[in-house]
Amino acid sequence: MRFALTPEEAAFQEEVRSFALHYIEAGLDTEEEERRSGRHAGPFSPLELQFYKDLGERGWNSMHWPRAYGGQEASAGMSSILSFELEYHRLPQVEWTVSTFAPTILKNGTQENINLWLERIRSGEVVYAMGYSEPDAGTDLASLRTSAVREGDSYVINGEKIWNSGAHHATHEWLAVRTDPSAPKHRGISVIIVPIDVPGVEITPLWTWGGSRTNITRFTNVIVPVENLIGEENMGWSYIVGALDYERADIGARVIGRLRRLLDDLVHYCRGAVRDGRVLISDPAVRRQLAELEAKVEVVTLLTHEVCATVDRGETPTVVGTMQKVMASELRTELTSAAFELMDLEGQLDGNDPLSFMAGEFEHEYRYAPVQRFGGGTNEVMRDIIAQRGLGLPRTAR
Amino acid sequence: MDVGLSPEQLSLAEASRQMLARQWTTAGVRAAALPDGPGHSPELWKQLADAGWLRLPFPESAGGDGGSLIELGVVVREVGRALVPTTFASTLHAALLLWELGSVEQQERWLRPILNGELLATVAYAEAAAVHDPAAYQATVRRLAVGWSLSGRKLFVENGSLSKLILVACRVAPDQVPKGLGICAVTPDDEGVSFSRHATFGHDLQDEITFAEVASGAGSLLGGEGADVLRGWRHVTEVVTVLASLEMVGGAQAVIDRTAQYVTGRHAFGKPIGSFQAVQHHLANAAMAVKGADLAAWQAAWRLAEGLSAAREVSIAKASAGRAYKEATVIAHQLHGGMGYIEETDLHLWSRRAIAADLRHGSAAYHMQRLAELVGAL
Ligand SMILES: Cc1cc2nc3c(=O)[nH]c(=O)nc-3n(C[C@H](O)[C@H](O)[C@H](O)COP(=O)(O)OP(=O)(O)OC[C@H]3O[C@@H](n4cnc5c(N)ncnc54)[C@H](O)[C@@H]3O)c2cc1C
Repeated sequence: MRFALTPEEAAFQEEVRSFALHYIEAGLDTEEEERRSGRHAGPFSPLELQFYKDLGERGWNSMHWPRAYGGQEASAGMSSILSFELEYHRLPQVEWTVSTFAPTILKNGTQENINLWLERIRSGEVVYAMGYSEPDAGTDLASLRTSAVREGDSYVINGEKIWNSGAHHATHEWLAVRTDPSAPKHRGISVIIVPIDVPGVEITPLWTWGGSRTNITRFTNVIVPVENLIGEENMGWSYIVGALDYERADIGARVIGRLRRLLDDLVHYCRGAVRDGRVLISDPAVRRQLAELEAKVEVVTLLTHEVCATVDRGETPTVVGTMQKVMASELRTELTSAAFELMDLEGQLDGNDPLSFMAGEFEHEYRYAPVQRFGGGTNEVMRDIIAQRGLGLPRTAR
Repeated sequence: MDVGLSPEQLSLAEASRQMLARQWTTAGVRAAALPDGPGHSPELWKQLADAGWLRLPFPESAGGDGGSLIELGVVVREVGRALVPTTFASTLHAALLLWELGSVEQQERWLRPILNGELLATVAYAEAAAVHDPAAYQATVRRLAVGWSLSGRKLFVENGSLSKLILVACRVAPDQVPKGLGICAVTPDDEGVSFSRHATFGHDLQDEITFAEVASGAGSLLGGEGADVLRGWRHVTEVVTVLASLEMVGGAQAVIDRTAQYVTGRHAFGKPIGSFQAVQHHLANAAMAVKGADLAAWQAAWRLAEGLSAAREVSIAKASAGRAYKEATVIAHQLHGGMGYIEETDLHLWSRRAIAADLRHGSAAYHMQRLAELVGAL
């Protein structure tokens, strides 16, 4: 047992921190805040481009990949340090194509898939949008209907995806399609890569309450070569579910980076703010509220460490990863909601108000939080998994 | 014990609900919302005034309809359900203060036009370092040869720049009488009054107002000789806090109703998602919270209407309503999934209002703290 970073991890943390501070000095955190709040949605700035290039040159965008493919075979513990620190310092993150889809290709793809995509992903030439959800297939994803029909050396794709978040700046779709309509629903799904710029792909924006853009993407007789199939035909469901497990360590580390930062900022606020003749932090009720949050953030942090340790033992963190996802996503709402109350009337200022604390980070986070609770597996189904896979309770009939 | 509304009150609720369902759809809510909208709807205002909603709790002698706080609460709950702009609440706050502390002349001059729907009004109290405790306010009035001079800076003044009458809670300069809290009436056109608009989560209109030696007339201070201004202020604060609670209960119930409807129509795994136990439990939890908050609010309203002490009941009501409204919207987002998250769907209109309403007149955390002090003092 060792509830502390190894010397190697501590050194890496220091390195990432000074990297982060360098980009904060250059103003990248402000640019990132503008982007996340939806106030800015244009192409990458020179500073953003430099940041991504720098990440690539340091090998940090593919740390966890095998050395044979240009990676560093870093542990989940090491890559989580990077994710945590970038998020804590409000900087852009490593692209999910690198963190989620590339490992799936490495694990389940053919050698041809690896040769075709991996280096292009690492260099940033290829970025996937995640094309899973459909208007009538959300939680019940396996009922998806977008079809891919094999004709000679091509697939012909027809259907509609919704909540297709990255589509407007991605180069390709990581598309879940039905390839065998006669098989039971989980056994007729495949993953096929579709270039965004081919004829028949039509993208319509959807603006969310969180301020971000997502999309409806329609596919009409879109033709792609069969070599764009990932792994085996009709095995897509296991890749999709497997990719969720990969995400948990990385996304978990990001989320606690965010939570830790929000709580630190909230404590800072309470040290400075005076209300009705009293500095907030001098009020025992305020300190008690902050203590509740402190304990909860700490517990979720520990769960995240366990997720990483599980991955590093070569096991799948299904149950503990699920626990982390549920607790962290619900804590985002709880923490920001508590922040509003502690800040009293000031809590309602949004980021456009010059008097708002930290450019309205709490209100923005509150609006961002709902999608964390139902995205990436809804918390209702996640709780079923904890009970059924974790505790061995009988499966729910669906 | 009878904890229910009378048949007349129930039909007032029903009629009010129907009127708002016709006159005030979510398209109206969106059109009025800041930053692009004005925060108010003159057409709706006229309807509410014609229906006599502003007159409800005031005696006929003052131009009112002689109803009670309960009737007012009945319409306010519908106001919350339909997301009527906050001009209704801010104007009522000013009207209640005028009734409580105004002289006959002041009531003739300002209350009567308010009740006739001719005057929008508001109350300015919060400051950068003081919200709930009048003793901490820094804005100050000083006596001039004739009338008063007001200086200070107020934040979060609801509809400040829309209102033609602003009642400012301030301190009377230390060497002068009456001592302590003063409430000074000014108009936005007075020299030295300047506005700067806040950008708020609720997309409602709130202003920062600076008063720079604003001269107001002799009759501009509320509360005649010997009036207990602080006591009157506190009483009105309790009344508007209960009204805010009822408004929140109405909003929370609307959220539950629309969510129940949504989960009945949306299918997954070949069934309505509303047939899943987890979904039902979420809605049942929200419904319990709202039911409790509703009863707590009526109890507090009743005690105030009867002239009984109500500090404990008011804090229980506001804390319960704040929690219930927020909980209902959080659950509703969960049960709507992606569909509740896009700008086009209306759910977030209530989610925004829930946060704004929780913070108005003391959040759930603030009221729990007040309650803790009361429990400790027993
Ligand atoms: C901003 C945003 C970005 C997104 N980005 C992407 C993306 O890039 N790619 C992508 O593919 N998808 C994306 N999603 C989609 C997201 O994954 C779905 O919203 C999620 O899967 C839920 O599906 P749904 O919205 O259809 O909700 P529904 O499936 O309709 O669920 C509604 C509610 O019913 C509950 N429910 C359903 N079935 C059950 C059951 N059996 N038992 C108990 N409760 C149940 C759910 O838990 C939920 O609370 C995004 C969504 C949003 C809003």
